[in-house]
Amino acid sequence: MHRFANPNRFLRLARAVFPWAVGATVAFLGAGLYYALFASPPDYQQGETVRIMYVHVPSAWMAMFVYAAIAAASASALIWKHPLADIFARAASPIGAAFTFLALVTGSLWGKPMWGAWWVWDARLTSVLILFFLYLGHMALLNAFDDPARGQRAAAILALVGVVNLPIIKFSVDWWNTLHQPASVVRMGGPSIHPDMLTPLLLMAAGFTAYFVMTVILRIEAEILARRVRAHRLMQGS
Amino acid sequence: MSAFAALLRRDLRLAVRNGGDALMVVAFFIVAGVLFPFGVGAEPAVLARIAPGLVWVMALLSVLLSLDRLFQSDYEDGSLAQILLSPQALVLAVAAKIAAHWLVTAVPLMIATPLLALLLSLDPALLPPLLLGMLLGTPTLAILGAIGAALALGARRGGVLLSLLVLPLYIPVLVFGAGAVGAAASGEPFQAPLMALGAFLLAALALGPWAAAASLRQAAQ
Amino acid sequence: MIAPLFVFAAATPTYGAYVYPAYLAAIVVLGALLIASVRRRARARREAQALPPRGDSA
Repeated sequence: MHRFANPNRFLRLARAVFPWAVGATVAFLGAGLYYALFASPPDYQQGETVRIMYVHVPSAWMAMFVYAAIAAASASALIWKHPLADIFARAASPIGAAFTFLALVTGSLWGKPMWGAWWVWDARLTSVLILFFLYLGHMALLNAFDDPARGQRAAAILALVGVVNLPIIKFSVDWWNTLHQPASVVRMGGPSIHPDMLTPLLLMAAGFTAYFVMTVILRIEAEILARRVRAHRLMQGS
Repeated sequence: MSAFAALLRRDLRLAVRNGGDALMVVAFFIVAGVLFPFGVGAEPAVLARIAPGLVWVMALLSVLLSLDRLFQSDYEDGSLAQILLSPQALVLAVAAKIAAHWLVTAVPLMIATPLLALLLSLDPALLPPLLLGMLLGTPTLAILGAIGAALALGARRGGVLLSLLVLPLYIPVLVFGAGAVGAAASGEPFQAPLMALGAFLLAALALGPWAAAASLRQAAQ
Repeated sequence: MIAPLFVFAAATPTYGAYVYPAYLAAIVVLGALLIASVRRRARARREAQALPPRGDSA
């Protein structure tokens, strides 16, 4: 971990990883879209609408995964003052917010034909909406102070406080009788979903993960360079 | 512990001497609640149906409104720096400030609740679950709000930022607080939502003051 | 960015009114974020390049 606290060493690594991340994103998303839209069967109950699942479920996974990653980075930023952890949290927050937004939008588009409503106040939907607000608060707090370091520390604490929400999202479908269907992939006793549907789902999830790695590298590099420029200008100014 | 008591006494005395502040929050609670009969129409049946939720939302907003002063005045006049420098545990000081804030804002709100409930034609039989829920729920609101207030201390447009940070975290309290009254209204037992509120309170008591103390410490760095 | 959308629109007409907007939303949101990130890095690289060379610290 601490080997990469040096931004230059990290940048070299990131530039080496980046082409692979781009390749993986294109390959997995291409294959995933092909399977999702053409090479998978319609559901016997839901018909073709089930294809929304292949964007909805990976987005929701990524929304939670990115938040967990931000929280872990925030913890290491607060405990060890790891400089890259702050940069990572700042870079990942908008991406996580985008995935959460997508999960909400696609869920709404799926809910309309299945439940007959764009939105229901069910525990799963509400907790994901709270996750989206947490992302918004995190981004707002990061930029709310004249001193960026102060915003980072505050946002890190907020990210850690918000971790309470993750188990609530995960288990909301088990704890409450909800309209949202329970977990069917990550569960005790193996997935209950048919392999023909599992393939596009996992391909899309891999594609979204690769997209996240690619985009976060772009944003981290931008942030490191922007800090260098800012530090230089401050030195010039004084 | 004497530091806790001293700080609590100081905050309460400050609140009593600037008596207007606490009363203003109560006035907001009543006045904003009274807007709803004009907005949704004054039919008692409609009002009685939405009154529990309205009272809860108004209580939430009133607590939120009063939060930005929780640490701000101490931050401005330097007493916060004194508290941070003192050898006493910061957690205790934060707990004292939260307790004082709860006594000064939430307790008057609960006293004013029967009045607002009357104006919104809430069934008087529903007052016990409403007030019990507020008794268990408002300390959680104060603790969560203290974390938010410490995080947003010194921010540009701190008040708006504070509501963005804190309101999402208030949703579970609102759900179970209004849920208790809803259960009582349909003749069901309302212990379960109240127990959930109690569980939130215990969790918030166990973790909240530490999170707020950590936020305060980084704010003062 | 635009071409895949037409492929999509041509390939998925039979899937009902909800599948297509869901994929469209994904492409628009993720695409916009990616473009914004690429532009942000390009600007940062431009500005960093304009700095005079100096030590190895960031």
